[in-house]
Amino acid sequence: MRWIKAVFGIVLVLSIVFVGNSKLGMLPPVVKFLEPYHGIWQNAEISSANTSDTFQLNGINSDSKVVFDERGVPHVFAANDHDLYFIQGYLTAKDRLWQMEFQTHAAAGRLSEIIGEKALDFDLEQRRIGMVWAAENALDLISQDSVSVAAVSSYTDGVNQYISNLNETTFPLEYKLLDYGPEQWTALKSALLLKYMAKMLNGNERDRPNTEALKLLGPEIFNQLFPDQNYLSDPIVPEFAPDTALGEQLNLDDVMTDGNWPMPEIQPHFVGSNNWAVSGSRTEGGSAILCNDPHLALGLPSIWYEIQLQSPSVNCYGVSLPGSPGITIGFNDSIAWGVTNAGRDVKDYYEMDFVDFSEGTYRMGNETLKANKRLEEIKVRGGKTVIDTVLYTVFGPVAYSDKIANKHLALRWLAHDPSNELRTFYELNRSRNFSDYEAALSHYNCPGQNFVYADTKNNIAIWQQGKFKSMPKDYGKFIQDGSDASHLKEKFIPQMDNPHMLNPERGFVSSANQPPTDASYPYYYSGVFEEFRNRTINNFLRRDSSISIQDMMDLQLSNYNLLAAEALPLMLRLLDTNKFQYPENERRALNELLDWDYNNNGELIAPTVFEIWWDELNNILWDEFNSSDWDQDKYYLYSWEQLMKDGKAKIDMRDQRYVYPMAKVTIDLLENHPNHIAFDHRSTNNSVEVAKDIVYDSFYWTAMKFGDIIKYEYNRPHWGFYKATRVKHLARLDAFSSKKLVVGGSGNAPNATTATHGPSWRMIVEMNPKGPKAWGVLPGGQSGNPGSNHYTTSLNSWATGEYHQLNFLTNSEEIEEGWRLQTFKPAAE
Amino acid sequence: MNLFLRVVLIIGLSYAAQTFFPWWSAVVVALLVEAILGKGDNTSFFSGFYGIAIPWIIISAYIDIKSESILTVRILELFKLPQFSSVLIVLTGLIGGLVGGVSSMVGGWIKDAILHTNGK
Repeated sequence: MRWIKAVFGIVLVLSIVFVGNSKLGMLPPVVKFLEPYHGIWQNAEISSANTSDTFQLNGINSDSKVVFDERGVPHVFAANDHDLYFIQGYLTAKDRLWQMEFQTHAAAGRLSEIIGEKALDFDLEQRRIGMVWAAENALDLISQDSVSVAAVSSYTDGVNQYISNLNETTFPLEYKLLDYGPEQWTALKSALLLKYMAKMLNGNERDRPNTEALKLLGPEIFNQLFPDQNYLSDPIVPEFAPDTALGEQLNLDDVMTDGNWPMPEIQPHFVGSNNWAVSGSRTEGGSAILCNDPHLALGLPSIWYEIQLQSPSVNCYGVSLPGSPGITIGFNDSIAWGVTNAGRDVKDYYEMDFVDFSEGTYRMGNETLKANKRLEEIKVRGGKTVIDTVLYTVFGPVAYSDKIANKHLALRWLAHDPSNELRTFYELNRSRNFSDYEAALSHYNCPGQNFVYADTKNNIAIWQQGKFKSMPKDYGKFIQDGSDASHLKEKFIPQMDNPHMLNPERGFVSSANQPPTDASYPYYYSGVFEEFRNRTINNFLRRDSSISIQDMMDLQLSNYNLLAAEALPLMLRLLDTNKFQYPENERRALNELLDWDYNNNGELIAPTVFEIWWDELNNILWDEFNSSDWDQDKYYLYSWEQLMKDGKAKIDMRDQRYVYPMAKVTIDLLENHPNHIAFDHRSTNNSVEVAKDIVYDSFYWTAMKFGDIIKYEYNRPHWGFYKATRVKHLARLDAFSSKKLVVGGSGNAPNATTATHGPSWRMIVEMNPKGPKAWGVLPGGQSGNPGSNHYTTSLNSWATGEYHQLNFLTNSEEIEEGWRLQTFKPAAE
Repeated sequence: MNLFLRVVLIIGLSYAAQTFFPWWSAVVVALLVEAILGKGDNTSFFSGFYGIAIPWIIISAYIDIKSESILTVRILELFKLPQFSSVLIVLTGLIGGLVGGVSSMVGGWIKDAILHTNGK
């Protein structure tokens, strides 16, 4: 009897060990996770008092020194480029390994391996749009270039050296939480990261919504509501007219098809980036100043990793993308550069004419072609492996299928083409002058960017660089006929014909995602472009001819909302106060707006009222685009954001099947066409509404909503509270995200901080001939470890509009109080 | 061996074991100490309970203080627990104590079985 009890006891103990070591649903393995010897406690970072120490590092050839400043930014001093990139990989992995791997798993459509079936739809979409194929194509080209190969493989070896030193105790926090371990880093992962960025920056695609809208509205109204170029913008490169252009153009009849397609993710508010450079002739100090603030989804760990890289061939400071060697945005002692997104349409969809879909045969002109089949194996944690066959046509992969109608869309995306963007950054890091910069850009294809430039010789420049098709009007704006072989005759715009300018007379260059050119540009392009920020920036730069660093900070932080300045006076003029139904409510909302200076500052109430009103006005005005009379089960899109928020990838896009016209179009209708058919409400058969009606209806709802906010939100209707910006953890874990930040900003102001997006790095560089001086700030910090005090070091400074002076060191001897020096020695053979 | 000495022994041995092996080595230590040196009586649960809970509390409290509770607070938030460091430290100790206690209790059952087998 006692032995039976003892045996039962042993079984009990074994069960406890098993359960304590196993992941239970969403919970990590409870004992393994909490025990203090190897579990989560070991991830709490204890700051060491050591000011200097020495490490043996397997894989480097000479002694290298790394200075960590008070914010944990590494300044690497290496004897050769191999050691430099090896140590960059090593240090980046040390701070950001989980982020690097998670992002590349997401890019490759492998999240199901980590978080199970709920990521399956997301993964499937990544496979179908050809993310891995694109990365493989890029890697093929990178492999042919010994310079890039050397940098990538040194970086890869550095990352792997760090991984090989890890064990279950030292795994980054998220691995323990999700209960898995890191795998080897590869050059393909570095390529995948660039495609991850390409997908993010080419996300504003319009082919499918445009096709739907065209069908709904007919060509005349469509062209009126969705004009190609925003005629009121202030282009990046005015009056740019290369004369070689037209001979290069494609000659095609406009073709478009219809169909019911899953819609792309549509960003409700415009996000983008700013960059500009001002000539020394217009600055207080007489040196050129370059500024850049790329706006992205605000994330923790920070999207960027700040670093200084010095070897005999380079001395460069800036921010890098964790997973990619070199510096993406920064400066050296001769030049500075920065980027904003070009926003041009580089994704074309073709409806394929399949003879037999299962065979993969399709018609192309007079021929029948056979698609290549690529088997995609998706391992699902806690489930069966899914095999998905993706058909590759001459255009690219069949990305979306309407199974019921048996229609299939192939995606031609310029990010699929072989390219070596790494080489661009490698060369920019080392550029000494304008011609080096121009040569560096020649390697750059996708996603198209506006590269701003300034140097210590007082030159400034901007170049919209990328691989862009030369095409006839309206080409690529709609879903096109995939059986028309003439689509295969592609021509591309040469680099010299891409919009650029050097030292313009006006003394500054700038970009804020607006259209790159005006009507003088001979090539056709379409895209999604910014309408307001760019003019605020240019107006400022035109006005002020003695620009200080403080002025540049003020401009980056400006909350001036030009959309409000242009729309609100009109809206107020059209608002008929005699129609007020609940005057107390409506007066209260109206009074907030009367003395507003159009700044979306966090502490103001007016921006809250205006933003609600503007959204309500658009929703009521553009009711044409809120159709619900269609089979909602058939249409899905896959959204990473949604996946992380709701734990499911599929979201119903019923209310976002169409894209609303741009704000400028809406303002123009209010001002000049108050009786336009768009103002008529579809749901009222007996009456015809005009602008005044829509303005009042939307104001009525605004006043109601505003009343509710005052009533239920503890009297906190201020814009900062209402907008509630949060910097979210990559896996959307609230505990590892920031608290709600009470900050100002608007997608239409230079400080384009919305609830979820904003300046992911603010940088100002003065190209002083005696050595550059720079300021910068990240909405986060250097470390990716939520248990480190460097995880959110700079978040408060970012939120309150402060900058850090960047420490551009000349050698490793320059150590200040609170800094740390690490010496890496090659491990003894 | 009396309870106090067994607790001290489990603390020492489990610390050494967990330095090199995963957490379940503490289970083995508690079970063996009690099966070999224990009395096979009602005290067996407590040797493992204190022997594991005490060092787990001390180590986690040490880490918490040294790291200024940065991570502790985030983990508590993650599991929707009240955000006081002591909650996670006590929880860690309690889980360690229960796992250790059950292990040593079973060790005691084995000892009890051995004593009675030999006695017959």
